[in-house]
Amino acid sequence: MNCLGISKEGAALLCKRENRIELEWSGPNVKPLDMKVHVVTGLDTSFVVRRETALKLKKEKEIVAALPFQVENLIPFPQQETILQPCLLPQGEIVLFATQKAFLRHHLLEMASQGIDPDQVACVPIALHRWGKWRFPSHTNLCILSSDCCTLSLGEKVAFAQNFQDRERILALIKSKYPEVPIVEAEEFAIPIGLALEGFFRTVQFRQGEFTPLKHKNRIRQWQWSYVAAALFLAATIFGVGSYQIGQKKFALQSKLSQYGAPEGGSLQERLDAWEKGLISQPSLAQTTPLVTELLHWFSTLQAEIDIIHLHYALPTAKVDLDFKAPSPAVARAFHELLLQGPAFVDATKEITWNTTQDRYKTSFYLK
Amino acid sequence: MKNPLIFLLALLPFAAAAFYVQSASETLSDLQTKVATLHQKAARIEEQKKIDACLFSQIQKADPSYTDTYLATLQFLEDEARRIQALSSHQKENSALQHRLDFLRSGENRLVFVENKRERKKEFQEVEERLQHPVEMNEEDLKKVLVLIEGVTLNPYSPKEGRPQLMVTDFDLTKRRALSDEEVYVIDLKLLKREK
Repeated sequence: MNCLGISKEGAALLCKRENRIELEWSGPNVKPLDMKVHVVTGLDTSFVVRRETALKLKKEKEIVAALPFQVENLIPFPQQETILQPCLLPQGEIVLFATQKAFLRHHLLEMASQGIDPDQVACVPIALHRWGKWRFPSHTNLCILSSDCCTLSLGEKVAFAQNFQDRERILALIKSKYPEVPIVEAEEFAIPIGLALEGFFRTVQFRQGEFTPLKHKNRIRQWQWSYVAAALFLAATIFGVGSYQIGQKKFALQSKLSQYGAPEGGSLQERLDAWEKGLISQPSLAQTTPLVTELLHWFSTLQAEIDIIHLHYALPTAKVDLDFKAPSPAVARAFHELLLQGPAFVDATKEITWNTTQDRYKTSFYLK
Repeated sequence: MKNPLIFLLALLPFAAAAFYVQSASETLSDLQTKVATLHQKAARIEEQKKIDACLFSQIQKADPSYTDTYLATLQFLEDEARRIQALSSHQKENSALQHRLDFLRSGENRLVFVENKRERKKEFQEVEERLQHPVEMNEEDLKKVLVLIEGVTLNPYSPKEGRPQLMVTDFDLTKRRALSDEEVYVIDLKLLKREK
Protein backbone atom coordinates (compact mmCIF):
# COMPACT_ATOMS: atom_id res chain seq x y z
CA MET A 1 0.00 0.00 0.00
CA ASN A 2 1.23 3.48 -0.86
CA CYS A 3 0.19 6.82 0.57
CA LEU A 4 0.91 10.21 -0.93
CA GLY A 5 0.78 13.23 1.39
CA ILE A 6 0.36 16.63 -0.23
CA SER A 7 0.59 20.01 1.47
CA LYS A 8 1.57 23.57 0.53
CA GLU A 9 5.23 22.86 1.18
CA GLY A 10 5.43 19.78 -1.01
CA ALA A 11 4.63 16.09 -1.25
CA ALA A 12 5.87 12.79 0.13
CA LEU A 13 5.29 9.18 -0.89
CA LEU A 14 5.40 6.43 1.72
CA CYS A 15 5.18 2.71 1.05
CA LYS A 16 4.28 -0.04 3.44
CA ARG A 17 6.32 -3.18 2.90
CA GLU A 18 6.12 -6.13 5.26
CA ASN A 19 4.64 -3.96 8.03
CA ARG A 20 7.38 -1.36 7.66
CA ILE A 21 6.57 2.12 6.43
CA GLU A 22 9.30 3.56 4.27
CA LEU A 23 9.71 6.99 2.74
CA GLU A 24 9.99 6.63 -1.04
CA TRP A 25 10.57 10.25 -1.77
CA SER A 26 9.68 13.76 -0.62
CA GLY A 27 10.00 17.02 -2.51
CA PRO A 28 8.42 20.31 -3.36
CA ASN A 29 6.41 18.90 -6.30
CA VAL A 30 4.32 15.83 -6.91
CA LYS A 31 6.14 13.38 -9.14
CA PRO A 32 4.26 11.52 -11.84
CA LEU A 33 3.23 8.18 -10.36
CA ASP A 34 2.66 4.85 -12.08
CA MET A 35 1.15 3.17 -9.04
CA LYS A 36 -2.07 3.21 -7.11
CA VAL A 37 -1.79 5.59 -4.17
CA HIS A 38 -4.00 6.85 -1.38
CA VAL A 39 -3.81 10.64 -1.62
CA VAL A 40 -3.98 12.59 1.66
CA THR A 41 -4.15 16.35 2.02
CA GLY A 42 -4.58 18.38 5.17
CA LEU A 43 -6.44 21.43 6.41
CA ASP A 44 -4.31 24.07 8.02
CA THR A 45 -4.40 24.32 11.81
CA SER A 46 -6.29 27.60 11.60
CA PHE A 47 -9.25 25.84 9.88
CA VAL A 48 -9.42 23.08 12.47
CA VAL A 49 -10.61 23.07 16.05
CA ARG A 50 -9.23 20.50 18.49
CA ARG A 51 -11.31 19.62 21.55
CA GLU A 52 -11.28 16.97 24.23
CA THR A 53 -14.23 15.27 25.81
CA ALA A 54 -15.15 11.98 27.47
CA LEU A 55 -18.17 9.73 27.07
CA LYS A 56 -19.17 6.70 29.06
CA LEU A 57 -20.30 4.94 25.90
CA LYS A 58 -18.04 2.20 24.65
CA LYS A 59 -19.28 1.42 21.14
CA GLU A 60 -17.83 3.67 18.46
CA LYS A 61 -21.18 3.87 16.66
CA GLU A 62 -22.93 5.12 19.80
CA ILE A 63 -20.16 7.64 20.49
CA VAL A 64 -20.36 9.04 16.96
CA ALA A 65 -24.15 9.32 17.26
CA ALA A 66 -24.04 11.07 20.64
CA LEU A 67 -21.07 13.32 19.96
CA PRO A 68 -22.70 16.18 18.02
CA PHE A 69 -25.05 16.92 20.93
CA GLN A 70 -22.31 16.44 23.50
CA VAL A 71 -19.90 18.91 21.90
CA GLU A 72 -22.40 21.39 20.55
CA ASN A 73 -21.22 24.05 22.98
CA LEU A 74 -17.53 23.28 22.52
CA ILE A 75 -17.41 23.90 18.77
CA PRO A 76 -17.48 27.49 17.51
CA PHE A 77 -19.26 26.54 14.24
CA PRO A 78 -22.96 26.20 13.50
CA GLN A 79 -23.93 22.55 14.03
CA GLN A 80 -25.30 22.08 10.49
CA GLU A 81 -22.04 23.38 9.04
CA THR A 82 -19.72 21.33 11.22
CA ILE A 83 -17.79 18.25 10.28
CA LEU A 84 -16.66 16.27 13.31
CA GLN A 85 -13.92 13.71 13.47
CA PRO A 86 -13.53 11.99 16.83
CA CYS A 87 -10.36 10.10 17.68
CA LEU A 88 -11.16 7.51 20.34
CA LEU A 89 -8.50 6.94 22.96
CA PRO A 90 -8.39 4.35 25.71
CA GLN A 91 -10.45 4.97 28.90
CA GLY A 92 -13.23 6.76 27.06
CA GLU A 93 -11.15 9.83 26.22
CA ILE A 94 -12.01 11.48 22.95
CA VAL A 95 -9.92 13.98 21.02
CA LEU A 96 -12.10 15.73 18.57
CA PHE A 97 -11.15 17.55 15.38
CA ALA A 98 -13.77 19.73 13.80
CA THR A 99 -13.93 21.95 10.76
CA GLN A 100 -16.51 23.87 8.84
CA LYS A 101 -17.96 22.61 5.60
CA ALA A 102 -17.03 25.89 3.92
CA PHE A 103 -13.34 25.42 4.82
CA LEU A 104 -13.36 21.91 3.43
CA ARG A 105 -15.17 23.01 0.29
CA HIS A 106 -12.62 25.73 -0.22
CA HIS A 107 -9.76 23.29 0.37
CA LEU A 108 -11.15 20.80 -2.12
CA LEU A 109 -11.61 23.52 -4.72
CA GLU A 110 -8.05 24.62 -4.19
CA MET A 111 -6.84 21.03 -4.61
CA ALA A 112 -9.05 20.53 -7.67
CA SER A 113 -7.48 23.63 -9.27
CA GLN A 114 -4.15 21.75 -8.99
CA GLY A 115 -5.70 18.61 -10.43
CA ILE A 116 -5.77 16.81 -7.09
CA ASP A 117 -8.76 14.86 -5.80
CA PRO A 118 -7.66 13.62 -2.36
CA ASP A 119 -8.92 10.33 -1.00
CA GLN A 120 -8.56 11.66 2.51
CA VAL A 121 -8.51 15.16 3.96
CA ALA A 122 -6.85 15.22 7.38
CA CYS A 123 -5.25 18.22 9.12
CA VAL A 124 -1.84 19.62 9.89
CA PRO A 125 -1.89 18.86 13.67
CA ILE A 126 -2.46 15.16 13.10
CA ALA A 127 0.17 15.19 10.33
CA LEU A 128 2.77 16.70 12.71
CA HIS A 129 1.74 14.21 15.39
CA ARG A 130 2.26 11.29 12.95
CA TRP A 131 5.53 12.69 11.71
CA GLY A 132 6.83 13.13 15.28
CA LYS A 133 5.93 9.53 16.19
CA TRP A 134 7.62 8.28 13.01
CA ARG A 135 10.73 10.47 13.17
CA PHE A 136 11.32 10.14 16.94
CA PRO A 137 9.97 6.70 17.86
CA SER A 138 11.74 6.65 21.22
CA HIS A 139 9.92 9.80 22.43
CA THR A 140 6.50 9.15 23.96
CA ASN A 141 5.79 12.84 24.38
CA LEU A 142 6.89 15.50 21.95
CA CYS A 143 6.22 19.11 21.07
CA ILE A 144 6.62 19.79 17.35
CA LEU A 145 7.00 23.26 15.99
CA SER A 146 6.42 23.96 12.34
CA SER A 147 6.74 27.29 10.61
CA ASP A 148 3.31 28.46 11.71
CA CYS A 149 1.93 26.05 14.31
CA CYS A 150 2.68 23.99 17.34
CA THR A 151 1.47 20.44 18.09
CA LEU A 152 1.90 18.66 21.40
CA SER A 153 1.82 14.85 21.35
CA LEU A 154 1.33 13.07 24.66
CA GLY A 155 1.41 9.39 23.89
CA GLU A 156 -1.18 8.70 21.22
CA LYS A 157 -3.05 11.86 21.99
CA VAL A 158 -2.77 15.21 20.22
CA ALA A 159 -2.91 17.23 23.41
CA PHE A 160 -2.49 20.69 21.93
CA ALA A 161 -2.53 22.21 18.44
CA GLN A 162 -2.48 25.87 17.68
CA ASN A 163 -1.38 28.36 15.05
CA PHE A 164 1.28 30.80 16.10
CA GLN A 165 0.18 34.28 16.83
CA ASP A 166 2.83 34.70 19.45
CA ARG A 167 5.40 31.90 19.10
CA GLU A 168 7.35 32.85 22.22
CA ARG A 169 4.27 32.99 24.43
CA ILE A 170 3.11 29.52 23.34
CA LEU A 171 6.59 28.08 23.79
CA ALA A 172 6.77 29.55 27.27
CA LEU A 173 3.39 28.10 28.06
CA ILE A 174 4.40 24.60 26.87
CA LYS A 175 7.72 24.78 28.70
CA SER A 176 6.07 25.82 31.94
CA LYS A 177 3.26 23.28 31.72
CA TYR A 178 5.24 20.36 30.27
CA PRO A 179 8.89 21.04 31.27
CA GLU A 180 10.00 17.46 30.49
CA VAL A 181 8.54 17.29 26.98
CA PRO A 182 11.24 17.76 24.32
CA ILE A 183 10.57 20.42 21.72
CA VAL A 184 11.60 19.72 18.14
CA GLU A 185 11.44 21.75 14.95
CA ALA A 186 9.56 20.08 12.11
CA GLU A 187 11.97 19.09 9.38
CA GLU A 188 11.50 19.84 5.72
CA PHE A 189 8.44 18.08 4.26
CA ALA A 190 7.39 16.96 7.75
CA ILE A 191 3.74 17.85 7.04
CA PRO A 192 3.41 15.93 3.71
CA ILE A 193 5.24 13.00 5.31
CA GLY A 194 2.87 13.18 8.30
CA LEU A 195 -0.16 13.37 5.99
CA ALA A 196 1.07 10.33 4.09
CA LEU A 197 1.58 8.53 7.42
CA GLU A 198 -1.97 9.44 8.43
CA GLY A 199 -3.10 7.71 5.25
CA PHE A 200 -2.05 4.44 6.85
CA PHE A 201 -3.85 5.17 10.14
CA ARG A 202 -6.92 7.02 8.81
CA THR A 203 -7.98 8.48 12.14
CA VAL A 204 -8.92 11.88 10.68
CA GLN A 205 -11.04 12.02 7.55
CA PHE A 206 -13.05 15.17 6.88
CA ARG A 207 -14.30 13.90 3.52
CA GLN A 208 -17.49 12.50 4.98
CA GLY A 209 -21.10 12.37 3.74
CA GLU A 210 -21.59 14.78 0.87
CA PHE A 211 -17.81 15.25 0.59
CA THR A 212 -17.06 11.56 0.06
CA PRO A 213 -14.73 11.29 -2.95
CA LEU A 214 -16.58 10.44 -6.14
CA LYS A 215 -14.20 7.57 -6.82
CA HIS A 216 -15.07 6.13 -3.41
CA LYS A 217 -18.79 6.48 -4.16
CA ASN A 218 -18.20 4.83 -7.53
CA ARG A 219 -16.23 2.08 -5.91
CA ILE A 220 -19.07 1.46 -3.44
CA ARG A 221 -21.60 1.57 -6.25
CA GLN A 222 -19.47 -0.82 -8.29
CA TRP A 223 -19.20 -3.12 -5.31
CA GLN A 224 -22.96 -2.98 -4.80
CA TRP A 225 -23.61 -3.88 -8.43
CA SER A 226 -21.08 -6.68 -8.20
CA TYR A 227 -22.89 -7.93 -5.14
CA VAL A 228 -26.27 -7.77 -6.90
CA ALA A 229 -24.82 -9.49 -9.97
CA ALA A 230 -23.22 -12.19 -7.83
CA ALA A 231 -26.50 -12.74 -5.96
CA LEU A 232 -28.41 -13.01 -9.26
CA PHE A 233 -25.77 -15.33 -10.69
CA LEU A 234 -25.93 -17.48 -7.58
CA ALA A 235 -29.74 -17.57 -7.77
CA ALA A 236 -29.62 -18.50 -11.47
CA THR A 237 -27.00 -21.16 -10.79
CA ILE A 238 -28.99 -22.68 -7.94
CA PHE A 239 -32.15 -22.59 -10.04
CA GLY A 240 -30.41 -24.06 -13.10
CA VAL A 241 -28.43 -26.78 -11.34
CA GLY A 242 -31.35 -27.61 -9.02
CA SER A 243 -33.84 -27.83 -11.91
CA TYR A 244 -31.42 -29.97 -13.93
CA GLN A 245 -30.88 -32.38 -11.05
CA ILE A 246 -34.61 -32.57 -10.30
CA GLY A 247 -35.29 -33.17 -14.00
CA GLN A 248 -32.72 -35.99 -14.05
CA LYS A 249 -34.26 -37.56 -10.97
CA LYS A 250 -37.76 -37.27 -12.46
CA PHE A 251 -36.54 -38.93 -15.63
CA ALA A 252 -34.98 -41.74 -13.60
CA LEU A 253 -38.23 -42.12 -11.67
CA GLN A 254 -40.24 -42.28 -14.94
CA SER A 255 -37.91 -45.04 -16.18
CA LYS A 256 -38.27 -46.88 -12.89
CA LEU A 257 -42.07 -46.67 -13.17
CA SER A 258 -41.95 -48.16 -16.67
CA GLN A 259 -39.68 -50.89 -15.37
CA TYR A 260 -42.12 -51.66 -12.54
CA GLY A 261 -44.97 -51.91 -15.02
CA ALA A 262 -46.84 -48.73 -14.10
CA PRO A 263 -49.21 -47.40 -16.79
CA GLU A 264 -47.51 -45.26 -19.48
CA GLY A 265 -48.38 -41.66 -20.37
CA GLY A 266 -49.03 -38.55 -18.35
CA SER A 267 -47.07 -36.84 -15.66
CA LEU A 268 -45.30 -38.62 -12.85
CA GLN A 269 -48.16 -37.93 -10.46
CA GLU A 270 -50.79 -39.09 -13.00
CA ARG A 271 -48.89 -42.33 -13.65
CA LEU A 272 -48.56 -42.98 -9.93
CA ASP A 273 -52.28 -42.36 -9.36
CA ALA A 274 -53.20 -44.71 -12.21
CA TRP A 275 -50.81 -47.34 -10.90
CA GLU A 276 -52.18 -47.05 -7.38
CA LYS A 277 -55.74 -47.45 -8.67
CA GLY A 278 -54.74 -50.66 -10.46
CA LEU A 279 -53.13 -52.17 -7.38
CA ILE A 280 -56.19 -53.49 -5.59
CA SER A 281 -55.37 -56.39 -3.33
CA GLN A 282 -57.90 -59.20 -3.00
CA PRO A 283 -58.34 -60.97 0.33
CA SER A 284 -55.85 -63.80 0.35
CA LEU A 285 -56.72 -67.47 0.76
CA ALA A 286 -53.61 -67.96 2.84
CA GLN A 287 -53.58 -67.85 6.62
CA THR A 288 -51.83 -64.66 7.64
CA THR A 289 -51.75 -65.39 11.37
CA PRO A 290 -49.35 -67.93 12.97
CA LEU A 291 -50.31 -71.61 12.84
CA VAL A 292 -51.07 -73.55 16.03
CA THR A 293 -47.91 -75.56 15.35
CA GLU A 294 -45.86 -72.37 15.22
CA LEU A 295 -47.40 -71.10 18.47
CA LEU A 296 -46.67 -74.37 20.29
CA HIS A 297 -43.16 -74.44 18.85
CA TRP A 298 -42.60 -70.91 20.12
CA PHE A 299 -43.65 -71.97 23.64
CA SER A 300 -41.24 -74.91 23.47
CA THR A 301 -38.33 -72.60 22.59
CA LEU A 302 -38.92 -70.19 25.47
CA GLN A 303 -36.16 -69.96 28.05
CA ALA A 304 -38.75 -69.44 30.77
CA GLU A 305 -39.94 -73.03 31.36
CA ILE A 306 -43.63 -72.56 31.95
CA ASP A 307 -46.09 -75.41 32.51
CA ILE A 308 -49.14 -74.82 30.31
CA ILE A 309 -52.39 -75.77 32.02
CA HIS A 310 -54.78 -74.32 29.48
CA LEU A 311 -54.31 -72.70 26.10
CA HIS A 312 -56.90 -71.19 23.82
CA TYR A 313 -56.07 -69.71 20.43
CA ALA A 314 -58.80 -68.28 18.21
CA LEU A 315 -58.94 -66.75 14.74
CA PRO A 316 -59.45 -64.29 13.19
CA THR A 317 -58.41 -62.14 16.18
CA ALA A 318 -55.36 -64.37 16.83
CA LYS A 319 -55.98 -63.95 20.53
CA VAL A 320 -54.18 -66.32 22.89
CA ASP A 321 -55.48 -67.07 26.39
CA LEU A 322 -52.94 -68.87 28.47
CA ASP A 323 -53.18 -70.38 31.92
CA PHE A 324 -49.88 -71.72 33.25
CA LYS A 325 -47.78 -72.58 36.26
CA ALA A 326 -44.21 -71.49 36.74
CA PRO A 327 -41.51 -73.09 38.92
CA SER A 328 -40.86 -69.67 40.51
CA PRO A 329 -42.25 -66.12 40.34
CA ALA A 330 -39.00 -65.08 38.66
CA VAL A 331 -39.70 -67.42 35.73
CA ALA A 332 -43.23 -66.05 35.41
CA ARG A 333 -41.91 -62.49 35.58
CA ALA A 334 -39.35 -63.28 32.89
CA PHE A 335 -42.14 -64.58 30.66
CA HIS A 336 -44.26 -61.49 31.34
CA GLU A 337 -41.34 -59.20 30.48
CA LEU A 338 -40.74 -61.18 27.31
CA LEU A 339 -44.36 -60.62 26.28
CA LEU A 340 -44.10 -56.89 26.99
CA GLN A 341 -40.96 -56.61 24.88
CA GLY A 342 -43.05 -57.87 21.96
CA PRO A 343 -41.12 -60.84 20.61
CA ALA A 344 -41.41 -61.82 16.95
CA PHE A 345 -44.82 -63.46 17.37
CA VAL A 346 -46.57 -61.18 19.82
CA ASP A 347 -48.33 -57.99 18.79
CA ALA A 348 -47.12 -55.59 21.45
CA THR A 349 -49.38 -52.84 20.13
CA LYS A 350 -52.44 -54.71 21.41
CA GLU A 351 -53.55 -55.36 24.95
CA ILE A 352 -51.60 -57.85 27.06
CA THR A 353 -53.40 -58.90 30.25
CA TRP A 354 -51.75 -60.53 33.24
CA ASN A 355 -53.32 -62.08 36.36
CA THR A 356 -51.74 -64.03 39.18
CA THR A 357 -53.40 -66.43 41.60
CA GLN A 358 -50.88 -68.07 43.92
CA ASP A 359 -48.60 -70.11 41.63
CA ARG A 360 -50.91 -69.89 38.61
CA TYR A 361 -50.77 -67.19 36.04
CA LYS A 362 -53.28 -66.13 33.44
CA THR A 363 -52.38 -64.00 30.49
CA SER A 364 -53.88 -63.04 27.19
CA PHE A 365 -52.18 -61.47 24.20
CA TYR A 366 -52.51 -61.20 20.46
CA LEU A 367 -50.31 -62.69 17.77
CA LYS A 368 -49.28 -60.83 14.65
CA MET B 1 -23.59 -1.05 4.27
CA LYS B 2 -24.85 2.11 2.62
CA ASN B 3 -28.02 0.55 1.25
CA PRO B 4 -29.06 -2.41 3.32
CA LEU B 5 -32.30 -2.67 1.33
CA ILE B 6 -30.36 -3.35 -1.87
CA PHE B 7 -28.44 -6.11 -0.14
CA LEU B 8 -31.64 -7.66 1.13
CA LEU B 9 -33.48 -7.28 -2.20
CA ALA B 10 -30.56 -8.82 -4.04
CA LEU B 11 -30.93 -11.89 -1.86
CA LEU B 12 -34.59 -12.33 -2.83
CA PRO B 13 -34.02 -14.17 -6.14
CA PHE B 14 -31.48 -16.36 -4.39
CA ALA B 15 -33.98 -17.14 -1.63
CA ALA B 16 -36.74 -17.78 -4.19
CA ALA B 17 -34.51 -20.13 -6.21
CA ALA B 18 -33.43 -21.97 -3.07
CA PHE B 19 -37.06 -22.26 -1.94
CA TYR B 20 -38.13 -23.56 -5.37
CA VAL B 21 -35.35 -26.17 -5.50
CA GLN B 22 -36.02 -27.21 -1.90
CA SER B 23 -39.77 -27.61 -2.36
CA ALA B 24 -39.34 -29.40 -5.72
CA SER B 25 -36.84 -31.76 -4.04
CA GLU B 26 -39.29 -32.46 -1.26
CA THR B 27 -42.10 -33.17 -3.74
CA LEU B 28 -39.79 -35.46 -5.66
CA SER B 29 -38.73 -37.18 -2.47
CA ASP B 30 -42.41 -37.79 -1.64
CA LEU B 31 -42.95 -39.23 -5.12
CA GLN B 32 -39.91 -41.48 -4.68
CA THR B 33 -41.29 -42.74 -1.38
CA LYS B 34 -44.67 -43.35 -3.01
CA VAL B 35 -43.04 -45.26 -5.89
CA ALA B 36 -41.16 -47.43 -3.38
CA THR B 37 -44.37 -48.07 -1.40
CA LEU B 38 -46.37 -48.93 -4.51
CA HIS B 39 -43.57 -51.16 -5.76
CA GLN B 40 -43.63 -53.04 -2.46
CA LYS B 41 -47.40 -53.28 -2.63
CA ALA B 42 -47.25 -54.57 -6.20
CA ALA B 43 -44.64 -57.17 -5.19
CA ARG B 44 -46.77 -58.21 -2.23
CA ILE B 45 -49.87 -58.58 -4.42
CA GLU B 46 -47.82 -60.59 -6.93
CA GLU B 47 -46.52 -62.82 -4.16
CA GLN B 48 -50.03 -63.22 -2.77
CA LYS B 49 -51.30 -64.19 -6.21
CA LYS B 50 -48.66 -66.92 -6.42
CA ILE B 51 -49.52 -68.27 -2.97
CA ASP B 52 -53.23 -68.12 -3.77
CA ALA B 53 -52.62 -69.96 -7.04
CA CYS B 54 -50.82 -72.71 -5.09
CA LEU B 55 -53.61 -72.87 -2.53
CA PHE B 56 -56.21 -72.87 -5.25
CA SER B 57 -54.45 -75.75 -6.94
CA GLN B 58 -54.29 -77.54 -3.57
CA ILE B 59 -58.04 -76.98 -3.12
CA GLN B 60 -58.77 -78.30 -6.60
CA LYS B 61 -56.72 -81.46 -5.98
CA ALA B 62 -58.06 -81.99 -2.45
CA ASP B 63 -59.34 -85.39 -1.41
CA PRO B 64 -62.98 -84.91 -0.25
CA SER B 65 -62.59 -87.75 2.26
CA TYR B 66 -59.27 -86.48 3.69
CA THR B 67 -60.57 -85.81 7.21
CA ASP B 68 -62.42 -89.13 7.32
CA THR B 69 -59.46 -91.05 5.92
CA TYR B 70 -56.64 -89.59 7.94
CA LEU B 71 -58.02 -87.68 10.93
CA ALA B 72 -61.07 -89.65 11.98
CA THR B 73 -59.09 -92.90 11.92
CA LEU B 74 -56.36 -91.73 14.30
CA GLN B 75 -56.15 -93.62 17.58
CA PHE B 76 -54.78 -91.72 20.59
CA LEU B 77 -53.05 -92.65 23.82
CA GLU B 78 -52.18 -96.13 22.52
CA ASP B 79 -49.35 -96.63 25.03
CA GLU B 80 -51.72 -95.90 27.88
CA ALA B 81 -54.31 -98.26 26.41
CA ARG B 82 -51.70 -101.03 26.19
CA ARG B 83 -50.62 -100.51 29.79
CA ILE B 84 -54.23 -100.49 31.04
CA GLN B 85 -54.93 -103.60 28.97
CA ALA B 86 -52.02 -105.35 30.69
CA LEU B 87 -53.14 -104.16 34.13
CA SER B 88 -56.81 -105.00 33.66
CA SER B 89 -56.03 -108.64 32.94
CA HIS B 90 -54.76 -108.79 36.55
CA GLN B 91 -57.35 -106.41 38.04
CA LYS B 92 -60.57 -107.51 36.39
CA GLU B 93 -62.68 -106.10 39.23
CA ASN B 94 -61.18 -102.55 38.75
CA SER B 95 -64.08 -100.88 36.98
CA ALA B 96 -62.29 -97.56 36.60
CA LEU B 97 -59.54 -99.25 34.60
CA GLN B 98 -62.11 -101.07 32.50
CA HIS B 99 -64.04 -97.88 31.92
CA ARG B 100 -60.89 -96.04 30.83
CA LEU B 101 -59.92 -98.84 28.48
CA ASP B 102 -63.37 -98.80 26.94
CA PHE B 103 -63.08 -95.02 26.43
CA LEU B 104 -59.73 -95.38 24.70
CA ARG B 105 -60.57 -98.40 22.58
CA SER B 106 -64.24 -97.96 21.75
CA GLY B 107 -63.79 -95.05 19.37
CA GLU B 108 -65.19 -92.55 21.81
CA ASN B 109 -61.80 -90.79 21.90
CA ARG B 110 -61.53 -90.09 18.17
CA LEU B 111 -61.70 -87.00 16.05
CA VAL B 112 -65.28 -86.74 14.89
CA PHE B 113 -66.03 -83.53 13.05
CA VAL B 114 -69.48 -82.10 12.60
CA GLU B 115 -70.32 -79.49 10.03
CA ASN B 116 -71.26 -76.10 11.39
CA LYS B 117 -71.71 -74.11 8.23
CA ARG B 118 -71.13 -74.61 4.52
CA GLU B 119 -70.72 -71.76 2.09
CA ARG B 120 -70.35 -72.04 -1.67
CA LYS B 121 -67.79 -69.63 -3.09
CA LYS B 122 -67.13 -68.98 -6.77
CA GLU B 123 -64.56 -71.72 -7.31
CA PHE B 124 -64.61 -73.70 -4.06
CA GLN B 125 -66.66 -74.27 -0.97
CA GLU B 126 -65.85 -73.32 2.60
CA VAL B 127 -66.92 -75.62 5.41
CA GLU B 128 -66.73 -74.75 9.07
CA GLU B 129 -66.31 -77.90 11.17
CA ARG B 130 -65.97 -78.51 14.86
CA LEU B 131 -65.17 -81.50 16.97
CA GLN B 132 -68.23 -83.30 18.19
CA HIS B 133 -66.49 -83.73 21.55
CA PRO B 134 -63.05 -82.94 22.94
CA VAL B 135 -60.42 -85.59 22.48
CA GLU B 136 -57.64 -86.71 24.81
CA MET B 137 -54.16 -87.21 23.41
CA ASN B 138 -50.51 -87.05 24.31
CA GLU B 139 -47.81 -84.85 22.78
CA GLU B 140 -46.99 -87.26 19.96
CA ASP B 141 -50.67 -87.60 19.06
CA LEU B 142 -51.00 -83.81 18.99
CA LYS B 143 -48.04 -83.60 16.60
CA LYS B 144 -49.69 -86.15 14.27
CA VAL B 145 -52.96 -84.17 14.28
CA LEU B 146 -51.31 -80.82 13.60
CA VAL B 147 -49.19 -82.29 10.79
CA LEU B 148 -52.31 -83.65 9.11
CA ILE B 149 -54.32 -80.45 9.58
CA GLU B 150 -51.77 -77.68 9.08
CA GLY B 151 -49.65 -79.50 6.52
CA VAL B 152 -46.37 -78.92 8.36
CA THR B 153 -43.60 -81.48 8.82
CA LEU B 154 -42.73 -82.44 12.39
CA ASN B 155 -40.22 -85.28 12.42
CA PRO B 156 -40.99 -88.11 12.02
CA TYR B 157 -44.44 -87.05 10.78
CA SER B 158 -45.18 -85.46 7.41
CA PRO B 159 -48.42 -84.33 5.73
CA LYS B 160 -50.45 -86.59 3.46
CA GLU B 161 -51.40 -86.12 -0.17
CA GLY B 162 -54.82 -84.69 -1.07
CA ARG B 163 -55.04 -82.35 1.90
CA PRO B 164 -57.70 -79.67 1.39
CA GLN B 165 -56.90 -76.24 2.76
CA LEU B 166 -57.45 -76.68 6.48
CA MET B 167 -57.15 -73.91 9.01
CA VAL B 168 -57.55 -74.22 12.77
CA THR B 169 -59.86 -71.35 13.65
CA ASP B 170 -60.23 -72.27 17.29
CA PHE B 171 -57.83 -74.36 19.32
CA ASP B 172 -58.37 -75.28 22.94
CA LEU B 173 -55.86 -77.30 24.94
CA THR B 174 -56.26 -78.35 28.58
CA LYS B 175 -53.63 -80.37 30.32
CA ARG B 176 -54.76 -82.90 32.88
CA ARG B 177 -53.56 -86.04 34.59
CA ALA B 178 -55.03 -89.34 33.40
CA LEU B 179 -55.90 -92.34 35.53
CA SER B 180 -52.51 -93.84 34.81
CA ASP B 181 -50.95 -90.66 36.23
CA GLU B 182 -49.79 -89.65 32.75
CA GLU B 183 -50.20 -86.11 31.46
CA VAL B 184 -52.73 -85.90 28.65
CA TYR B 185 -54.06 -83.00 26.62
CA VAL B 186 -57.76 -82.49 26.15
CA ILE B 187 -58.09 -80.92 22.75
CA ASP B 188 -61.05 -79.17 21.22
CA LEU B 189 -60.87 -77.83 17.67
CA LYS B 190 -62.73 -75.84 15.06
CA LEU B 191 -61.61 -76.01 11.48
CA LEU B 192 -62.18 -74.09 8.29
CA LYS B 193 -61.97 -76.40 5.30
CA ARG B 194 -61.76 -75.25 1.69
CA GLU B 195 -62.41 -77.89 -0.94
CA LYS B 196 -63.74 -78.29 -4.42
